[in-house]
Amino acid sequence: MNKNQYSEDLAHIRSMMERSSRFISLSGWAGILPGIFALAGLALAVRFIQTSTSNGMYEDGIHGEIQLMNRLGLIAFGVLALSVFSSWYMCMRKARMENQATWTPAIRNMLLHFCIPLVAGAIIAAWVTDREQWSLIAPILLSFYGLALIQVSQFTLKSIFWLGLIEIALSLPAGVNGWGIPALAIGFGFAHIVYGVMQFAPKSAKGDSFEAGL
Amino acid sequence: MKDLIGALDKTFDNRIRLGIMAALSVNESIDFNTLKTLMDVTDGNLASHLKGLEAAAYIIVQKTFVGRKPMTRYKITKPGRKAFETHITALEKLIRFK
Repeated sequence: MNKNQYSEDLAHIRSMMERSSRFISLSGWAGILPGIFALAGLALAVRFIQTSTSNGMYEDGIHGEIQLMNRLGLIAFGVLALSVFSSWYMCMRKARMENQATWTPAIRNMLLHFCIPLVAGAIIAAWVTDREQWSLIAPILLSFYGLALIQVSQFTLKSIFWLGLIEIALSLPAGVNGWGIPALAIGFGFAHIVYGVMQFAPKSAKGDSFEAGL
Repeated sequence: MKDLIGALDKTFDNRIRLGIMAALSVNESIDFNTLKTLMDVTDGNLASHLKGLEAAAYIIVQKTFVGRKPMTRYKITKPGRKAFETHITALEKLIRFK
């Protein structure tokens, strides 16, 4: 054995540690279902906004505004709950099918690091809502969600990193008046669906596990 | 230099065994199939290396059932972790040695 082999041994050890602690049972459905929920929620929100305002004014004055805000809040919460539940369920189902453990320190670590940027984003979004700066909500949601995805890519498939970059890139046009909802539809709807479908393509699935080091 | 080489554990004289120990050192326990995918080796090859590590008491085997399917999980032992860490330290010293 020479020195080269020793450093190769160490590199091998390091890569095995990393590979074995990633969560690789990411289901494509965990992208597709939340994408569909997001699009449905946005469509519903647009309908409510259009019916409750005419010429940019609320038909029922302040009551109409409060009712609309409550409805939009409820839609956002519903989409979030459905998305979290469905993607969690789909990943766990895939993990069980692949005979992988479903509750490991690696998974707990992954969830923790995913949630931290999301909580930070939620706090800022709450303040922005409080100040009624509606046009800032879309860019905030997109950029913090993108950061969460980039963060979590260290613990699961590396391709999640690119999805995160797309979300952050979308937060730029999302600040333009009137572009918020289309940007949300692209970022939370179409990007998720496309990413999810790509997981089912045999070539990309192989590329992913290769990227993740498997 | 000779002392350093002597500090290397003969049990880890193989990449697959090193890989198994590395994976087990950062996970609570790992099942046979996951190890097989990770190491990219055949059943027989993996089984024989696992037996070697088990004989050295560096890992322990747990047989459980998931539904009706039998599942064999492997776990690193305390002496195993210590031996593995000593081995890594020896490797690092050997690289730095001139």
